[in-house]
Amino acid sequence: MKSSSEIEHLIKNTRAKTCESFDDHILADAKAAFIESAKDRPTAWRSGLSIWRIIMKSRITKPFAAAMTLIGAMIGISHLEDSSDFNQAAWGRMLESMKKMPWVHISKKIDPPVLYDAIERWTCFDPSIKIYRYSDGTIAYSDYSKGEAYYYKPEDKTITISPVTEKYNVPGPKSPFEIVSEFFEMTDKLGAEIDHKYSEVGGKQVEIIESKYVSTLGPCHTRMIRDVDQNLLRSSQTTILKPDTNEEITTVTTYDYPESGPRDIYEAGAPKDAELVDLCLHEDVQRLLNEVQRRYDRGYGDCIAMVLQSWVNENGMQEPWSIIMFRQRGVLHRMDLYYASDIKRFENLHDQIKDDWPNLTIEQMKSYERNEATERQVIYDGKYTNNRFRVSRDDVKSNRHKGMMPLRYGDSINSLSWFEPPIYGSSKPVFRVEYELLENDPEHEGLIGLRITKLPTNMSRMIAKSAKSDFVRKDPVWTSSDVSCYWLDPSRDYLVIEHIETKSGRKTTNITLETKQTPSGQWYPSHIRHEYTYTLSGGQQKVNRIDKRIVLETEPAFPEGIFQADYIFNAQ
Amino acid sequence: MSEDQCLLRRLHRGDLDALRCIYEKYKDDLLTIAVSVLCDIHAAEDCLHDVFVNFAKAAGDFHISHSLKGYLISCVVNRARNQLKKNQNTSISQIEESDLRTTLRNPVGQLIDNEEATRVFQVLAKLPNEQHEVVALHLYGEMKFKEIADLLNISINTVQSRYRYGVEKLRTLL
Repeated sequence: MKSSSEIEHLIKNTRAKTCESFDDHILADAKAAFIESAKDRPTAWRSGLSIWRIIMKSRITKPFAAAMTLIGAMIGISHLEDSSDFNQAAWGRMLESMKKMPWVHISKKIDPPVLYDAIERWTCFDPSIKIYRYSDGTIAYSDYSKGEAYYYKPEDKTITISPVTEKYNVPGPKSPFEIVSEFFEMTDKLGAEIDHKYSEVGGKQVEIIESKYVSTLGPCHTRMIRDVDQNLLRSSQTTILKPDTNEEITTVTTYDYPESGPRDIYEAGAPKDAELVDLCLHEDVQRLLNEVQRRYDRGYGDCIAMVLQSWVNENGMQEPWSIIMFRQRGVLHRMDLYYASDIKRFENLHDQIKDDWPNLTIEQMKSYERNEATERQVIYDGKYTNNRFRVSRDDVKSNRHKGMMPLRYGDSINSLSWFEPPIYGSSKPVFRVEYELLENDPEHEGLIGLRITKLPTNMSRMIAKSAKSDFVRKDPVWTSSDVSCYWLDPSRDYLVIEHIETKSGRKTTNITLETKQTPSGQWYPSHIRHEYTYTLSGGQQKVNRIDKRIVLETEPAFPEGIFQADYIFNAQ
Repeated sequence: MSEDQCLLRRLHRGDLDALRCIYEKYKDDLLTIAVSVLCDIHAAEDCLHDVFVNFAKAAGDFHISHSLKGYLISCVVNRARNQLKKNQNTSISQIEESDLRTTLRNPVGQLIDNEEATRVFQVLAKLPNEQHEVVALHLYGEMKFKEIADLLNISINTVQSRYRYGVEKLRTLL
């Protein structure tokens, strides 16, 4: 039998260790929580966090994440390979080595070439800087630590300066290491065939991994090369055979790891004499957006909001359409949408609610809720956003994303009360966003007007031309200007009283007809009229009207587990 | 000024790197304590996640009165105990050894890196909760008996006797 001190020694030396992907995850969440709480503190305290005052949406890391998927691929493959001679540990250590590199520089060549793509990228993880050089000469330089983005556009030889934030880079991975777990699932599904060997290239010992799998684009063959001495990924080559045309597309990517990267957009290749265009927000606009963002983020605290949505027919009669139940507790939230219209084809709540419409209470609705009747769900459980939506009676799709995804208009009480400025994004090579305060208007007395315009650039039109290619990135393409006009009421918590949006020739109007106050005095919209105009194929204009009645309960009690994706309503 | 006080001061100024430093400094200790209480690596990770995110949320208002480590440990222990209460139907004593082996391994088997370690955690799990907790806090959290007594709101004599009985039992099991 061991002595007490031996036992103590044994236990003391038995320890659990966190892994890096977990560390990345926890730190990302902790930082987000810290910054979120920082918003409620005095401005001076937040001086180091000015980036968070800037309201942008950025997809800029997506192309990089896509490239880094190749790195994830290696880990995924090594994880799946059972062969004992497959050097899993070495590939794992390679990731360690890569993480320690201050900069990663990636060059990509696609054959046959595509009209528009990022052909060169630099990434620095700390501080967070990302640089892209595109095939048409455009350069994007985003310094997230400073909250500034620079875009050089060769067609007009200008450099645009605009604010940028990483706030909505979720759910994409934040580092190559976060990709690993996501890639496990993908490779599992693809059932890749893997082979590896050691060889010599240019006098250096390398390990070569070959994998074959079938992706959504067609059969793929990927070859990756690891420098054994330096333990770093050096290149990868992917060939895809397009099944419809038998055309082969080959992408060759090379990686190097410089000690330092371009310090500014000029070092990244922009000419010194390019004209500077400053799109940073005017102070008045920034102040207004801060007011809106702060309220949007804070919302109504713990609450249940029920939104009863009715179609309004040409005679002004209201027909039940759908019910949204939005619940929030701390950062956790869930949205459940139920159909309430008389459609027998789908599961719905029409029979239960028809007699009380539109004066249904939250308590009544709680007793009617059932999982089979949900048409759409969004649940943020603190770590993941779980989405579920019904395609048909028997076909329900679901997906899960790491982190909190933004809720769309109407899905939360916050989005009905205000708007979230980042939904408009920041200026990018493909579009620019302009904000402008509107002059006082007698028809909107006491309200503050704000116009937000999203303008396409030449590059956007270029992407639209090449959109037929499967290998062009799939970001949305803007070919026409989108304009949004908001009228906000500063005397009622900056609620949106009117919002008119023109997008792709379609006009949408939201008018708040009635407002109420919570017991603590916060204003919220209790009645909204939503209208949208569209054009039929014959050219005839048609207007659809939806009436939204909102019932809000603050500080409610929630049943255990309701913010988990597997929660069952009214379980027997 | 202690290192922890410096880190907290930096955190008050909005320095996110300080948050990372605090995490790096205590993550393994906290995870080990959570594992030793919960005997489930996934639940322990969740516990550490929740504690640290909550700490980050409150960090702007946080003022150190005793030790930062003690504060974080007490958060982990309290949360883990609450979790155990919730999971009374699957109390540790009811977990079969094979299950425990599974719960102590993460998908890539890296967190608890060898069979011996797995065995120690398995044996620890066989201790009654109150002894188990005191042993973990003293040996992993490096907390003094007085600090443990304050944390658990019990007398120092109770802490000492639980620790003694716990170690004695471990001697027979290891």
